[in-house]
Amino acid sequence: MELPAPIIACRASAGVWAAVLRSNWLWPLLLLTLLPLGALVENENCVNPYFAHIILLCGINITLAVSLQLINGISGQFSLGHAGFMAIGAYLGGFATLTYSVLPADVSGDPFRSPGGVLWFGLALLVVALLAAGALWLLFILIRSSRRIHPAMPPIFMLLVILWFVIDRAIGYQLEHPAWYLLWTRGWSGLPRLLDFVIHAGMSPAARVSTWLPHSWCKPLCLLTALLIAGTFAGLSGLLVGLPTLRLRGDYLAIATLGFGEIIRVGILNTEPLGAATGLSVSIYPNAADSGAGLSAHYIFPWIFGAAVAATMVIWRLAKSAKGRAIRAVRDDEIAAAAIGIDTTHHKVIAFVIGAFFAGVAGALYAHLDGYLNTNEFAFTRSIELVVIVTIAGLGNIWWTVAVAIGLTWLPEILRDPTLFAIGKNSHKAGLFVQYCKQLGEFRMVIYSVLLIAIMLARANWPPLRAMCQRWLALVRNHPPNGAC
Amino acid sequence: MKYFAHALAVLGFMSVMLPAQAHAADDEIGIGEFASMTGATATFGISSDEGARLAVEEINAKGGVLGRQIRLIVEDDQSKPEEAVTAVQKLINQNKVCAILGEIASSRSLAAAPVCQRCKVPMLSPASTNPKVTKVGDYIFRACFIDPFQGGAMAGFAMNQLKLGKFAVFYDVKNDYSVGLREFFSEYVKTHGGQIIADESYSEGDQDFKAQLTKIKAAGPEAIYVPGYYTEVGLICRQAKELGIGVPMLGGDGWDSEQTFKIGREAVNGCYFTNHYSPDEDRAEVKDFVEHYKKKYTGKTPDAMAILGYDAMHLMADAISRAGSTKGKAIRDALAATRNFPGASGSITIDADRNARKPIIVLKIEGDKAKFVATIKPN
Amino acid sequence: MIHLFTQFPHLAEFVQQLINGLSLGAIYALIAVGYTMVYGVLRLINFAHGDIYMIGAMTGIYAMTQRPDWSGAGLSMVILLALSGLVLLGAASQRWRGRKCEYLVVIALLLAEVAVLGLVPWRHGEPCPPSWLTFVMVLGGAMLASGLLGYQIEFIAYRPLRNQPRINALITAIGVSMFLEFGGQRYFGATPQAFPQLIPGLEQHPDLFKFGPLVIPKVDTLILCVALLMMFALRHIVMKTRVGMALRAVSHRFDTAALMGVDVNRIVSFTFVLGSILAGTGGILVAMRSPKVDPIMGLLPGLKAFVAAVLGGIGSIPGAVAGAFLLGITEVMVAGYFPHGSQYRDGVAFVILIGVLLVKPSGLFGSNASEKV
Repeated sequence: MELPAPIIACRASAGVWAAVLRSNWLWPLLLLTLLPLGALVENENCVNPYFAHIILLCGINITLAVSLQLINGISGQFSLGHAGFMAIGAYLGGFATLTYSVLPADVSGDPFRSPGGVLWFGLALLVVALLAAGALWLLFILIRSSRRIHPAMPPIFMLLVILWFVIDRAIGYQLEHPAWYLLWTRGWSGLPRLLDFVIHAGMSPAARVSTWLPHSWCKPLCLLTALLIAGTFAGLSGLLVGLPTLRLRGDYLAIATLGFGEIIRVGILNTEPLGAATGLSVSIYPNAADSGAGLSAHYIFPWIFGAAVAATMVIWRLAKSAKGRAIRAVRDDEIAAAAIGIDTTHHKVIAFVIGAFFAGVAGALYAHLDGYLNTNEFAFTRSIELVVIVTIAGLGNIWWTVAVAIGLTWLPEILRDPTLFAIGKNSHKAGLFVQYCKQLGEFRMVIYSVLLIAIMLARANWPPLRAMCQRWLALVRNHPPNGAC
Repeated sequence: MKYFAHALAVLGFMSVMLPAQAHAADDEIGIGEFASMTGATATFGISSDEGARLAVEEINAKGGVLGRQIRLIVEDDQSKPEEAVTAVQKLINQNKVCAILGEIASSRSLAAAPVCQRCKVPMLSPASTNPKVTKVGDYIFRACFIDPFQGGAMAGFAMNQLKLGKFAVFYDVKNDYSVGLREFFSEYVKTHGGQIIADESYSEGDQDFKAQLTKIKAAGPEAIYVPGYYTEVGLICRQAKELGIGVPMLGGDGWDSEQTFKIGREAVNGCYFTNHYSPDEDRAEVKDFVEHYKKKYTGKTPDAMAILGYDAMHLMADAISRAGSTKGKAIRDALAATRNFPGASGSITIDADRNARKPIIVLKIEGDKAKFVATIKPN
Repeated sequence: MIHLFTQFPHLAEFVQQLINGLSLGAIYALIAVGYTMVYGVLRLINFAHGDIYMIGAMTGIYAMTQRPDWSGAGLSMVILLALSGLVLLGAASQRWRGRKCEYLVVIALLLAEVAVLGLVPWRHGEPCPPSWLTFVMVLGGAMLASGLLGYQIEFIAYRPLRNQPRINALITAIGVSMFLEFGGQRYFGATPQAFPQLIPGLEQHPDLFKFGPLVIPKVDTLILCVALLMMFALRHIVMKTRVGMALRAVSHRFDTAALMGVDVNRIVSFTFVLGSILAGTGGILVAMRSPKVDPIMGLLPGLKAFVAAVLGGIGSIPGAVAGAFLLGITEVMVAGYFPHGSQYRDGVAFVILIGVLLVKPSGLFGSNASEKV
């Protein structure tokens, strides 16, 4: 007898689900094993804050490395400016919780009380940023449309605009109340004032909304909102970086992204509210690496690993999907992909945006982990570290990236102090071997760089090297130990 | 490959179960010190560490504190604020010290102070002069004067002794100490009838200052106040001389290092700077200290950071013995109650803002030495 | 002239800033030319180039202030030096037999370096008295050291990656740069060192000419003169000699030049050595101007010199020089005329970079190579 149609459909879909589970069993297993470990990390008494810090850093590096893998490996756009996206996420997320997650009426100034405030800050900043971007976009369209007058007009127009900007700022930079015609100066000082106005306008309703929420939800919600804001703005900056660099290839793209990363860093360096040169001390989300934290029901560990898992899942599934195939097609041969009908612009930019989003989220988590932000931490050096992880893992391999990220977060720590896992020994009374290990630790960055060069050379010469190794092995095997020939 | 990543992750997480690293044994008192032993301001860290170690030697020779020997655990912050944070976290979490000594530079003290405050570990800075440092919290102390006094003292000296009225300020925008000093100097000058006719900035690490110096020269000042650290100060004086700027340069205690003479050479002749002490001072404590220091460090003359490190270490040991225990709160209360502690650089009294009130010495550079010119007492 | 400048002090200020910019630009030019030559020949951005400039300055300091303590040198150093000599002899004999043996030369160089740098205890001694002879010798020493280093880097790190995608070579270049910087920090110490005086009277009487408020410092004119001299020498080499012709051929079309009988390896090595010599000279000159030398001093000037090369058209030597002078002058003008311009000084280079890449990626003098399907 024929089974009713719905039951046939259920059995069929069960088969589909079984197939899905068979191909995606790793992540559920990972989550199942890691969550209990996470619970262990949360228990203050049996945790080692130094190692906890390294592990949390591992998680952040996984997110960063996987997001960079999407940009560098899967979409083939060699980006050396990833630290810039991380910086935007870190500073915005940290600043949001530092200033706006405090309830206005709260005398004690405890952070993480007002998710509404954080959300409102994000919305206000978004609106003001879109307004500014819109105005600049209009100007850009005007300049582009002047091409109709004469093909050489746009560069001349652009130069005129730059000149106008320079003269305007030169006259007006120190005036308290610049005249009405000094548009650029009024805009420059007006935008922060507009932002302040919008924020203050909506802060009290937002705070009131926050008081309606159950108390134990406030902290995680604050962090979640801060992460989303950080990711969004980092993603927007990814858009800003990805769009102009569409025409650039290879080395030029690398240098352009390097330039963008440095511009972002210098921009933050010159912004007073973000701490300028002295750095910003933001509120720390309770975590096991911080021995000053009291016992609390909420820790940052699940957030960091949630972000790492989410980033890896999203990018892994993206790489395996049709969109991922399109991105890889654009990477392999842009002209052929365009000839087939793939929108190269869309696919290149989407890689930047998603990669930057996760980098921003990682940055915000980093800010809440350590509590101290200094632009030197987001310099070219950090971009290079991430690029090293991605390159050693191989362009396009997601799982190797996770492994290498964990390995290369641990390696400097192990090299810094090779007696790290010496349990029960008093390190200051240790012997000669330990002394040598400690001296080795001081050379860790040198070892790191030599390792990098060696890996790149080995990978380049892998076939001859492998042949050499095999010949050597064959040679060894053909000579039995007792000498009989 | 997937298994490898998984296995690595699990192994990595297991490490949280490992116990904390070894620290000072129970029969010792662990005091942490974070200083810039390498990097742009290396002489600060090396000098203060030498002074502190001399003090530890003396204290341990007399039997230690509370019957236990002191063990000084030093972490290098490479002259970078972010490394200062890591160093302090390592000292507190890994080495489990009961108190922290450091830093000389205000920027790095400001970066690390929130960590000490949060973890309730008392921090005593030997030479950070920016007022913001002790405002971080009640566990942060300093054993030296603060910048409002220093900036005002130099301005007063310049206006009253040197009879100068028009000043230019050339400060380091990346450095809290420099920014603060510029503010206080300018304030004093303006409220006492002087003029600041040029206000230029540079960044720590810059090599080329001629652009800003040309602007300053065009304004025509009678003296230039350069409240920066010695690494840039030497270069600034040289390039100023190359550009033909002949007016004297004035500075703060960040000038105090032998590198100022090595880099600046002829160009720093005739410049003045404010400092915590001078090795030529007449007092017996200073002479004693200089003698012991020269004996331990083979003929090297101690600079201000050395004597401040020395005093801070003695003060810390004294506070621990007055507290009678190594608990953070007890040490903190004992430090706050310090009155007239006989330090080598002067008598130290910790006031309500956790700062010390000490006199300022003005020095003039002649040849390759800094000669004592005047003492300015706090009012 | 003096009246002109006294009457118009703003003009004097402007000309002074111009001179500052020219001398800064001269130093960037020396480094940028190396970048552009290597890119023209190999299409590789040699990130380690700025660190070769640092090595030049460090060599100067070592030549001036450090003395080898031969008594503490020890047997191991002698053995290594002897080995190095033997390897060189072996290389010579192989060459005589017509076989390739460049790797032997590099091994010999490495052994000698390990012996001299690692096994000889260097003691801090009295700085050499300043004189023109000292200046020439220190300059020569820096050129030799940086040239040798450039040759070794090319042989060890870049030649094996010749046929790989350019990204791999870029990463290796970054690795070499990191190695030089961190290795330098371990070997020379991370603390900035003071560069002693090289030329007599330079610091006692630093100005060459004085036109009222305008002062032309000796050191800036010296830098400009040396830099221009080296540019002319380079131009002569590139335009008027056979090696230069081969260099131009290889940078135009790599494979065709090889087919025409040019020994490409030799030309590439020659390019690296030439670029490194110029960078080493730049290191000494900048150490004379601001005598604070530390192992990471090459990072930022290297990046800025690269921006200058891109601005002028990467692959074109006159472009690199023009771009460098432009960048130097712009940087000084921004620092000198913008309020708090010194904070934006480093950002100026990157803004120019983005601008050039977006508007005209081939730069001022470069050619537009369009991609054919």
